[in-house]
Amino acid sequence: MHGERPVADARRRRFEHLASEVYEPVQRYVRRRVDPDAVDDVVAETMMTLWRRLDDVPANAKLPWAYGVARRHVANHRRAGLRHLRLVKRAESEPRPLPASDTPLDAELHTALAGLDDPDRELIHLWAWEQLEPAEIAVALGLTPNAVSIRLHRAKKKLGENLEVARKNEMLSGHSRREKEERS
Amino acid sequence: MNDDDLRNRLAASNPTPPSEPVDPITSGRARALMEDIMSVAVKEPRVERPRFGRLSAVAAAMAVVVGGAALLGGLGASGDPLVLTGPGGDPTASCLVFDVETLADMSPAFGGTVVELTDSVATIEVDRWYTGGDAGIVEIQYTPGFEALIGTPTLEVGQRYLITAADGVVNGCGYSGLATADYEAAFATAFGA
Repeated sequence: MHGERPVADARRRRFEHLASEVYEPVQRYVRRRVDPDAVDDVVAETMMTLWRRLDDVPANAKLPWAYGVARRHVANHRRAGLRHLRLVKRAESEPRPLPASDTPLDAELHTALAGLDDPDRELIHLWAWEQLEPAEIAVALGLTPNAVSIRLHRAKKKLGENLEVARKNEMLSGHSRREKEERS
Repeated sequence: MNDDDLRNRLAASNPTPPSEPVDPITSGRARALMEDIMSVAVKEPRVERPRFGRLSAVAAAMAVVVGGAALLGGLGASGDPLVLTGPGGDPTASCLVFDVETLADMSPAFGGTVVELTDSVATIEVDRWYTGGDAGIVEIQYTPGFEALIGTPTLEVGQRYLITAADGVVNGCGYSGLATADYEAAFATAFGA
């Protein structure tokens, strides 16, 4: 129909511009959270959603909004392993795989983060790994900035407490190891 | 440890730091992906389609018990209905005790109002997605005559429900139901919204 082509071209240009801004950081976001084998699929699903919802992408917060889309696809991917759970009783649920990484493991930090619930851990990761500020995290999570600030404050406090416990436990286990070595 | 120290320590544990190379948008692979994506037709927003002119007065009087379903569509876009179909589930299965943690594992999860019922399809206009999609419309297809599962909601036109599914199966056992204030609060807690 007359006039459709320019509209389609304009949409393509808008998406290409958006993709140039978010494609690479979205890949990193996804890599941090899912198995390497699933990264390409989750990234492609995220980009597809961005294409379909192009008109909903806020001009002043494209990347946080894209992270929000990626977050839902990551969650869907993770839940795929749990879908067989259904609502019938099962003895065990499947463990969530940790993303592969060459980064040296900070054991205390890993333990402390594991002690957070999933929403708090995601808040912390968006803050530290994606380097988002509360207003941007709010866009990614669909919350108000005020709610994010409060929850982030609590999550950081809880993480600090967990780190202190992990540090003490590490000291105690190191002490026990030394005692055993001295006896033997 | 202050905020900066904590953030730096966390950043040092980042499994994919910003300096790590990823597929650039200029690569042939990325170009091919974007072209594939842009070849997908995008429909006009749902509100511009005369979909809801087909409400049936007879259907409005019907009440239907919805059981299990298999997911036909994947994630729906705003203009594409997400289609769930049935029947499914095991009538002899027992229910898990309802808890928010289990609820949080369900996908999709959404809130919406039943706008149309026929003898085989319930059409729900979604006003809130908690997870697992963004369609404006969800159609739940079911086979007449299947046995009601324990704890499944009875759908009626005009009523608002909160619904979850797992592996395409619409959940009963208290994991889908009428949108009461308490139930909304449970969903908000489960999905962090």
